Amino acid sequence: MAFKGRHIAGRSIDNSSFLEEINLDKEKKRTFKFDFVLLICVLLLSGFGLLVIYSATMFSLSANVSDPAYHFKKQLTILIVSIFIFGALLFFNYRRFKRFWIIVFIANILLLISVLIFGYEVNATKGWIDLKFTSIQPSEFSKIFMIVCVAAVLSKWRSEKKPVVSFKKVILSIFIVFLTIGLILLEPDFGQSIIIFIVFVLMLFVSGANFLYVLGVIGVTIGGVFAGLKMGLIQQYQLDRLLIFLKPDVKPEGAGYNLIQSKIAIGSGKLFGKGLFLGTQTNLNYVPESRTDFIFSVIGEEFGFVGAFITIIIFAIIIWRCFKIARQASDQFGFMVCAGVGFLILTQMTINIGMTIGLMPIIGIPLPFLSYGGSNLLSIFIGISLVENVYMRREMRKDYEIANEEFK
Amino acid sequence: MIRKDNTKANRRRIFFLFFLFIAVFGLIVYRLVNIQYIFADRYKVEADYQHTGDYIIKSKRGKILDRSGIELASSLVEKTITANPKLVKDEDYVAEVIGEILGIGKETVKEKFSDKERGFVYIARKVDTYTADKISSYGFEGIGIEDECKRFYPQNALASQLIGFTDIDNKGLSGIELGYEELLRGVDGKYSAEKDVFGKIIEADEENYTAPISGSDIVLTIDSGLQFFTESILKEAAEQYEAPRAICLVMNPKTGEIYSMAQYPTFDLNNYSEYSQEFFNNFGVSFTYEPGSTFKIVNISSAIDGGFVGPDQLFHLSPTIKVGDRVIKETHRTYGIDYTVGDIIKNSSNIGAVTVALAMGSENYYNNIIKFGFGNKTGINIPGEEKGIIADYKTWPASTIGAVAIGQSISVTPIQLLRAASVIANGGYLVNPYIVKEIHQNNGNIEKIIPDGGIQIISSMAADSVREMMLQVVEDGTGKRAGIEGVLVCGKTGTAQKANKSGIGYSEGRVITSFIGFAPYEDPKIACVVIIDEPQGNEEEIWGGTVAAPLFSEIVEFALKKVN
Repeated sequence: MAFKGRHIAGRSIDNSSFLEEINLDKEKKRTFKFDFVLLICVLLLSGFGLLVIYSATMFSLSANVSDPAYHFKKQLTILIVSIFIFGALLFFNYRRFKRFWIIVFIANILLLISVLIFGYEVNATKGWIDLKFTSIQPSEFSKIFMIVCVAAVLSKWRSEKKPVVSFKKVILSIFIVFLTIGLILLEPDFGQSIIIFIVFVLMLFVSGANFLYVLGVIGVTIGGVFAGLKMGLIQQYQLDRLLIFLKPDVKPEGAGYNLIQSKIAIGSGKLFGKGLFLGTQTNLNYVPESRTDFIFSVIGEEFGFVGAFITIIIFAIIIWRCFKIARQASDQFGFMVCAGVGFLILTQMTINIGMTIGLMPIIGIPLPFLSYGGSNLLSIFIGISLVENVYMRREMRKDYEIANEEFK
Repeated sequence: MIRKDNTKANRRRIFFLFFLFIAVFGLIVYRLVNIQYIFADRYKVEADYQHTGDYIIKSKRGKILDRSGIELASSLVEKTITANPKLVKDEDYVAEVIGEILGIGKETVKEKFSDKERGFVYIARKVDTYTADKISSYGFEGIGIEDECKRFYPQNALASQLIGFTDIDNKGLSGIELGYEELLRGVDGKYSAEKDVFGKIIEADEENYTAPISGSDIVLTIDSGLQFFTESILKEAAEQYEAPRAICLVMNPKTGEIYSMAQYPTFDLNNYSEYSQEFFNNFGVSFTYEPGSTFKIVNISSAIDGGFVGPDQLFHLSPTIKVGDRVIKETHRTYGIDYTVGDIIKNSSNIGAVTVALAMGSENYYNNIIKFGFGNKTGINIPGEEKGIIADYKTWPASTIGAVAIGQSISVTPIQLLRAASVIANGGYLVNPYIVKEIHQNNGNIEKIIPDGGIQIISSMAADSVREMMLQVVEDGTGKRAGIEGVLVCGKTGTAQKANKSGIGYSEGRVITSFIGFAPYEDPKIACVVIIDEPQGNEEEIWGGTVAAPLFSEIVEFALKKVN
């Protein structure tokens, strides 16, 4: 669609009458300038996720649940809601987020503080707020909020003539990110903290900031972790748990057990898998958390290498589209947002899939689009909506708009 | 603006990220190929091992029956209550209900749920169907009810040592239950099923189902009526003489078919755990003792068979005889006398027996003892059979031949002695005693055990002449009290001093009285040995002819009525 739109626009300039041009101008406004490749891939993955969740949960229901399709139905509802919110956000110009990033930031902080006060614990992490009809996980939304805020801070400010990533901006973005991470660590949710940190470093890297700043952030963080270890803020066992993936056989009953079981499940799927609903290891609870963090094990077992490979390819297309749209963005904020969302999906996918096959530490983070969980699905849909938003508004800015913005 | 500021540095960063992007995907795909293609078979094996389980269906244990089909051991189906602690949900409530129904209390049940690592625990075994149904009506998750066979012995203590018993898993521990374990047990069935990580069965695999094969029923040669009769006779006598143990075997002398294998004391098979180990030995095959005078029949018949002495040969016997460094005395005689070989048996003359043995010589005597089956197991399939002790003649000191001639310095089992007596009764054949008459397989096939009749070890002439002598023992000799009205009975008394507990020398007053014989004389149908160990009483009145012979008479009379 994108190419078609451009083609029409080009022809109108070259050899059309004035009347035609007006008509085309109208048509251009009505045209759905929309990246369907991205949307289709996202919907494919989410729909596939529904099936896999159904497969993973039909035999192993939690207590008090009798309907085998319970999780399926819940996730389906959330998917429909997510698509609506995705659509609604398209009508909202993303540039307003740049102007009001401070509101986004405050909302983020308030949400994270409220989860510490009102939240409830799952697996020793106080990360969920019960809203009676559903529960939300603020740290999932934090990732998108953080991307928006960092993109706003690192892109060109109105007071600037040229886009420069100054030391002041870097410090401000570090403040935003570390405050967010700090609050999430209080839950404590290491997985989300690590994701946010990596995405931030990558965003800083592409923002055009001096490379020394990037190195500085990484250095300070590593130093901080060691200092934390020394001062006892971080316990050795927490570090050990992160590094268990290097030697899973050492502690087969702990995190190593998850990894061994996950590899058995994926490996036993062989090339073509055991078939939907026929995965024994994942469906019969041998792989823990198979509907959330280890959903990729279900795919590997039931759809084999072929299914896992196609899944990864679809992920690659989504991430590629995010980066492509980032490069087409009309302003640096849009570029940063799209790159941020792309990095988020890339990082989270790499760590999640990596941990199921023993490439990455076992850290509890969901797989975007596929894992069971409403906050995960909705937040990533918001992220994709922002990317589409940037795509749709990539050429709609008239010169006066830019001039206006630069004068302010 | 990235497009406007496509500086060299930024382009390098983009290139770096692109490389990173490819590397990440390459690494993941490489790893997947590794897991799902190269090592896939290994993971597949491990997965199959984890999620499939083999489950055993226990086979029904065969019965043990007497010769007329009376059940001596049978299996009752009972229920076993099991639990999978990983699947039990409302522990408190479930424990309370089950504890109340079983009457074992809530805490006991709850404790069994506490080990969450295990997928299987017994809550109660051998519960009756009614109680099990009550529990199953609640339909608790994680609580299983399985059929299990409980061994039951309808005749309680009858032939207890012979039949033996099983453990709680119905595995034979002694007696026929142990000796015929493989036949009785049958073959367990099994099936494979898919199970989840908590051990809950998801789906049974029809293809891998093997039905259990019930065990065979074992029909013994034992006659319950006779067994009961002999046991009560032994009990009466043992109590009368305050004897610690008494043994009686009744056998068909021509075939080796055992009709009764009785002993005192017995124990209740249904409550065997309340008795100590020493109750469980089957004395008929495991009690070894010095046979004393009953052994003289072996001595005499061997010598006649070998032509060393004639049946009517006359010997002048002095009251004492010196063999090697040992002096052997006659029991009640202090003067010299002329005895035929028949008189030696009739009057149980020690000097006579020694004289005949000396005529034969150590080597011939020893070979004949072995030929009569002593020093070897009879081969009857009853666990715990002893073979007795007989030293090789080459190691015998000079005095030993004299000792063995009167049944000392040799130890035998009751069944060996009975078999030796049967050789006399059946005209010279060494029969193989047997206890199992038929095996009824669960498919209806009946395997009948056909006795082989044994091999002839002495001539029928020799056997007949000793038989004649044994008739005289009862007619006019030491065994008069074994007589049965209207029946000609053959027999031989035995009174053996028991070796000291230290094993050196003999102790006064501790004797084994025994009687061995068969009837009727013309065509022996019943052979029987009766042994009363350490009967108490006046020394003059405690010997084979007074203690054991009357019991023999009663038992053989009863047995003859049974077989006729």
